[in-house]
Amino acid sequence: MLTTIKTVLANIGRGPATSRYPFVEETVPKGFRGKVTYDPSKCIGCKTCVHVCAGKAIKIDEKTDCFDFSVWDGTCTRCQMCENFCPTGAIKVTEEFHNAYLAEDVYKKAHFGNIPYIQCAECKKMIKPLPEVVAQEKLKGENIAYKERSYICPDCRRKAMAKDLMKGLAR
Amino acid sequence: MLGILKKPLRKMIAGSPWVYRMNTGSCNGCDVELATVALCPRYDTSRFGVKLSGSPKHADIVVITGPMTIRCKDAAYRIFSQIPEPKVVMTVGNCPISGNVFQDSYAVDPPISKHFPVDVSVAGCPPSPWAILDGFVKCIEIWENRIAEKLD
Repeated sequence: MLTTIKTVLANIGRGPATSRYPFVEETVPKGFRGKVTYDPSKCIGCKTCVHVCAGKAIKIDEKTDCFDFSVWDGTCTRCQMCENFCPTGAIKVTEEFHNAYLAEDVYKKAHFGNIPYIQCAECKKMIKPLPEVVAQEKLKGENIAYKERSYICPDCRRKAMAKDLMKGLAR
Repeated sequence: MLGILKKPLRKMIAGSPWVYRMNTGSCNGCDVELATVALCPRYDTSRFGVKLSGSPKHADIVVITGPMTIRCKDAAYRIFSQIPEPKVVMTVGNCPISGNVFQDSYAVDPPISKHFPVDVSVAGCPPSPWAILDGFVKCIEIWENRIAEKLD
């Protein structure tokens, strides 16, 4: 009897256990995986995220002069694989959990990105651009081989470097 | 007389929507999440008057989980026809929206909006309890409007 009274009194002091969510904003626990956001200024179009996506939420559509990136919230499993494998950090998982929509809004819940190709200065082939942010972050702005020939495609760069090498050998 | 009663009646009916839970081939993730929302005191849905009902004939809100497997399609249609009008349909999880990881399987027939008129969709795999609570709140708004239409 005494223990019961003690427990009851303790619980009165502790306050209600119910979360007051719709009226008061809730903070998510650490490591919560919510909606995916996409930053087109960092994307290099390597398609790693398309390969690892379990729910086929991410699509990259390659066209003649650009590529379209889209991630649809309606089939994303929140596995965080895209963020783990993204080499440049263009995809990020946020802590956003407000996922209740009216049914007609479901197909609007997608991120889109349209990234135009650049043209190789030598062979006029369309190539995916390397954004300046990524060049600074990943290559630290010190990669001389890339810095000199940032406007040409990988094939042309390889040829040019081989030419330089042969020149050096002949000397 | 009925004119005066209409407004309080509307509030009273909208204050206690009963929920019927339909599992059309879900992996149980969304069902567990739904059970924690509806039954446990932490995310108490009784604050909005939401209560799980055992029979489809008492239900006002239908909650559907799962991508609609071919095997349970007939049963789902039969149960859905037993729920009295007006009703509000809410889907929980990504499977009813798109099929999610099962989307190209021969055994499922998503999306649910192909079969039933869906009003509210809660996305997530599984959605967080807070998102499901949001879904219930949205459903109750729609349900109140439906009642008003019916009474007028």
